[in-house]
Amino acid sequence: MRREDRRAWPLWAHLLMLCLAILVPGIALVTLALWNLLSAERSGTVMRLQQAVEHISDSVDRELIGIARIGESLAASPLVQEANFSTFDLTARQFLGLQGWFVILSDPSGQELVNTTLPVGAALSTSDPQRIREVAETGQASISDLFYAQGKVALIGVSVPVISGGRTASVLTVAVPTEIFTPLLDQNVGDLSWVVTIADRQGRIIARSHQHAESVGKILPEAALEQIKWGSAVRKGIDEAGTEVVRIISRSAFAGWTVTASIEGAQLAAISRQGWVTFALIAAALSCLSIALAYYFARRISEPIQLLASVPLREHSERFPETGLAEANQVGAALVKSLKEIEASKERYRTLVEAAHDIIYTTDLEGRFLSCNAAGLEALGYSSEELLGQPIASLVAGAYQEKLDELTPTRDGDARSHIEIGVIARSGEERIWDVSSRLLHDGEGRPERILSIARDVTERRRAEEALRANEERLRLALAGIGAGVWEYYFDTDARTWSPEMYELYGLKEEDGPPGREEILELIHPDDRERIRAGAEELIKKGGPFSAEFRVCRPDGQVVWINSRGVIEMGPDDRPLKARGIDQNVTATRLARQHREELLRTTAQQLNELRSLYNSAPIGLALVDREFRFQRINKVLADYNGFPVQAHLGKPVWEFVPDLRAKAEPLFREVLETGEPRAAVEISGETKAQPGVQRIWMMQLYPLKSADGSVTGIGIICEDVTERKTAEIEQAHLAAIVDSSMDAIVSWTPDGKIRSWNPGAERMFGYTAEEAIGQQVGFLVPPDLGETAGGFFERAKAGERISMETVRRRKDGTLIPVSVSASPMRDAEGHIVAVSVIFRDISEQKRREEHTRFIMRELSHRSKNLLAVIQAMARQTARTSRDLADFQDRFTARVRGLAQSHDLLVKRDWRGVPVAELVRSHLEPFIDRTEHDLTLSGPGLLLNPEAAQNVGLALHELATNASKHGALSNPRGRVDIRWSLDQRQDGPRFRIVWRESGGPEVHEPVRRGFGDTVIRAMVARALDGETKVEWRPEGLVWTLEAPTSCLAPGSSLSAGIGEGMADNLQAIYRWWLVHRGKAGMLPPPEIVDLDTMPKVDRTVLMSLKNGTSTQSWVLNTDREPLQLQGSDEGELLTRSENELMLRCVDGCVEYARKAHMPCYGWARVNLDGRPVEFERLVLPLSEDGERVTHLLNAVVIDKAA
Amino acid sequence: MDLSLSGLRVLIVEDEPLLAWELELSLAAAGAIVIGPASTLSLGLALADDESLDAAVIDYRLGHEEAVPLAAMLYERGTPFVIHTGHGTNADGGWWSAPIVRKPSNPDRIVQILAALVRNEGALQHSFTSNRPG
Repeated sequence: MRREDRRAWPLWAHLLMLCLAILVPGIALVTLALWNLLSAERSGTVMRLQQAVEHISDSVDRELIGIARIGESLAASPLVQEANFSTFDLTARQFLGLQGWFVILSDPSGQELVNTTLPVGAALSTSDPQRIREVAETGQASISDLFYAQGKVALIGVSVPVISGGRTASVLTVAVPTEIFTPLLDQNVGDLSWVVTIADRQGRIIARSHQHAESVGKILPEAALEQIKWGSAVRKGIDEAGTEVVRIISRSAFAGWTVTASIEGAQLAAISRQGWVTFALIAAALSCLSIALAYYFARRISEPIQLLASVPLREHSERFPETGLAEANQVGAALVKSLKEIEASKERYRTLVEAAHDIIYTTDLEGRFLSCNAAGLEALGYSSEELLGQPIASLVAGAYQEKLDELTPTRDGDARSHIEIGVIARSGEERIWDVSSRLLHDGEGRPERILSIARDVTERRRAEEALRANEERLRLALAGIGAGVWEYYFDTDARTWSPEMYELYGLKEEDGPPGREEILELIHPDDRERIRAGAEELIKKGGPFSAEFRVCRPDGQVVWINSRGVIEMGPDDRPLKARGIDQNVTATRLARQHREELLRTTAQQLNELRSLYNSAPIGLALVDREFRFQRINKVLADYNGFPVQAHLGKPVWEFVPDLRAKAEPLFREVLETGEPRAAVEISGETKAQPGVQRIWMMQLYPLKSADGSVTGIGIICEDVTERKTAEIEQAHLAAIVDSSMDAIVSWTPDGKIRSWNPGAERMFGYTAEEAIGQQVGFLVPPDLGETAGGFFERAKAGERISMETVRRRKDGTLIPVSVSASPMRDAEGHIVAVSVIFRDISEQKRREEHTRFIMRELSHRSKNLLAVIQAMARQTARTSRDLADFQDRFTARVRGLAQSHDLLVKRDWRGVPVAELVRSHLEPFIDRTEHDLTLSGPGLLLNPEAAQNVGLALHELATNASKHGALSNPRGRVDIRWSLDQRQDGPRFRIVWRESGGPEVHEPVRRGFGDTVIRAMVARALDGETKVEWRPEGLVWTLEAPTSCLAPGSSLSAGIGEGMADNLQAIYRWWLVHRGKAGMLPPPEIVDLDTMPKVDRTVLMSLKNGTSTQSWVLNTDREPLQLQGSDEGELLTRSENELMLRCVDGCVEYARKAHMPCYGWARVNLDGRPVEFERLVLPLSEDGERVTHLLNAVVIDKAA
Repeated sequence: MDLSLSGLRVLIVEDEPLLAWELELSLAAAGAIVIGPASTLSLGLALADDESLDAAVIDYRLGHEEAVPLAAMLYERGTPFVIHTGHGTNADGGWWSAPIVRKPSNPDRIVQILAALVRNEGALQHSFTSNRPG
């Protein structure tokens, strides 16, 4: 574009040239015009001169004609006519002579008749005879040349014929002086000065504008004469003086004279020059103006155009600015637009190329890649960077190397090429490309690069190859099987036979193909007519044929030939061409017979199959690749709820849309993989029963065509809803069986275990492997006495058995079980197994046993109790004074007994804590306002028998105390302590009842029942010893017994919890936690108010060696006890303290010795107000061994 | 005072002390020499080992045990005995033909039966219902 191109000139040059082109010619034109003008002017001048000259000439002629007229009139004058020459002469002289004119009258021969030039009377001679004669003959006037009259006067004569009597009598000549013409020569020719000369035919000057007189008669200068010869004209010449002149010559028509005007050339030139100068000035001025204007306008053109020219240089110029040049604007806008369009188009092209499906690439002229679109890169497998710059030759497969040149379209020939080449992709795969290339030229028409569009035709080529190969194979195959191929043209009766045909028919190849008749002759006579008729029929209609016939070969062999092919008809329904394949089917015919046989059988079977298909109890269908039903049997159609016909051709999903989501992927899989899918379970609704979920078992198998491609899918479909439901139920059952805690075992009818669930494994200890196969009875304990076989037979007989029995585990232990046996039947009702469920009823049995035990116990106890009450009654009766007394005492005792029993029942007959027993038995006898009662001891539980008996004893003691002892007066106190004492022979339970503050007592004389009780009975009952001391201050009763009187499992802590105040329980538990499992006593440091349980109404005392070291009173809502002499706010008095300490002394002792917590309870009467103390003493140890500290927690309550 | 058991050595096996005591009194009052009473089976068995036992009163339920072995032993030896029980018909019938006295009973009654037993008077019934006041 920007190359210096000598053919492309810049605009300014063009404009300049334009200007010049306009100007120069213009100027030239103008110059020419001017020159013409001037010439013309000059010519005009000349012409004017010429005209003037002509005018002069004319005037001369006119003059002469005038003169001629005068002559004629003279001629016609009577004088002349009458030939009155003398008169005429005189007249003439008179009249004409005035003017200086003369007249000459001559006869036709020229003899002058009259001549006024001569003096009168002068002799007349002949003048100008020739001319006169001419006039007389022609009758035309004529002008004479210059002559002189009398030798000095220059005259010219105009002669006219005198016609008289119809003939020319004479000739009259009027002679005029030349001066007559001189006025004629006075023509105004402007500024020019010229010299006009009239010359006669001889060239003698008749008149001259200047120096007339001198010139008359002279001969014109040579040059002039010369020029005169040439006629009227304008001629340059030289005058006498040698000056350049321009002569204008005119010949007068009438006279034949020459009028010559000569002007000095310089004069003319001067005119021209002046004209040129003027012109030059004007031209200069105009030129300047025009240049200026031209420049201005040129600018107005050139600038926009430069702008225009620069547009391609500026990339993406948005708009072409408005310039003064409309076209430039248009072009500019159009240019910008088209540049944009070009850009866009380039872009589109790029996009097109990139997106093109075809491979588009460009190479340079050497075949190196310049660009390649995405399709190409993809096809080749290279990246753009790898490919560009590489020669395409490097990609061309070896076999195609020689075609490389063709890839490059020739430069001088066709600029396109279209070839097929093989290219090797990066992967090594060879692809065949159909490449169409064309040469692209640059702006100057030089080949620049090659654009190629390639299409991957590998598959197509391969297909074609395959086709060709197939055809080849076919040919070979045909040849291989001895099939011959033939063709026959009807119109030409031309037949072509392949070599195999000859062999088939037993003819020789060199003989050429046989004709129709020959062939028919070869055919076996029995078949001939059939074939002939058939052929004739066929020839009429055309179309395919297939015939089998026997051929009797020349060599004698008879073979079966199968001929099949086609007859093509021509447009006019006449046979055109027949071709076919003939084959020796002798062997196959036999086979065919067999096959036909087979087919018949098969057809039969097919029918059977079809009926089977239709009557099969499962759904069968075939669908094509689009899943449209091609075939469907009634069962499946019924599943779907539509008639069979309605299905055909319609897609499966139309009938079972609900199944589509699950089934379609499977169908596709079968289509794609060509593998069957079996046992597909699918569930959904059909249109037949909307809303009902059904389950089918489906099997899909691919239908394949001969080449192995899948053409459709066969469906076998079975409604297994019921079965599935049954299966699910079965699965449920199996799950139940598996997870059941019961043992579920089944036996075969011949008594072998066939199933053994995990419950059975757990229950009996045998694994399934061990159990399965075992005989009936292997679980039965040998000494049971029942035969398992017995009940097994009954179960087999159909009886449902339910019973309780015992079985033996693997480890030999027995387990009580409830057995439930039932037969399992199959669909026909035959018993296939016996199913037995064993349930572990040990617990049940235990509970039953326990219940029985309880019942027995109850019965026993109640019987016992009744017996006891009876005994009590009897004994009480023995020592009662009267009925009232008996009633009192008896009912009291019974009440006491009832109390004990209440406590026992409260604790489910486990036992009764000692403290509770004591309290409850004493409760009725204590007057709260009067008596003090303290009890202390560890938390021990007495067993029911001991509780009952100790309770009796306590009752008696209390009764006795209230009647005779401490409780009979207000100040009486009873102190009861119990403990577990460690002795050498083991621990022993001890309880001591001490009365004080009562009246003096003495041992009674009579020992009543009560005495027996407290002394003997309770001892015996507990297998222990009692001691009764009647001390003066009060009775002391002691009981010691072995620990068998304690409830089994009675730990010292068990008894503690019961009945204790909540606060103390909390503290006790806290102590237990700190004691830990090892049983080590906690250290004293644990006593920290911050970490201890928050209890109120509790006094905590830390005792070291029995002495209080610290005490805290934890009280939030307790009313301070107003005690005697106490200050406001002090909670405990010394006496209270003492009381407390006293009442728990035993506790301290015990706790220290036994390392066990000790519990105490006391009710004391403080000034008529009963106060209850409940105390817990917890041992602590510094060293973990000895009890060094005691924590004493006391809850003080105003007794209700 | 009834001396129907005079000089007879009678074992009392009874775990309820009051009843045992009553029985003891009654038997002693009838002239018997009371062996025991034993409140447990083992004690009873130990005391029953004495060959010179003439009779026994056995509480069927001794704590949580049953007096069956003791009864068996006595039966083997041919020592007559009375079963004194609060239980119902739970006793295994059959192999001892010992009389059964149900609680609550009158101790005198037991004395009577014992006396009769020892004297082998009549064919004794398998069981006695002992609710007759006596």
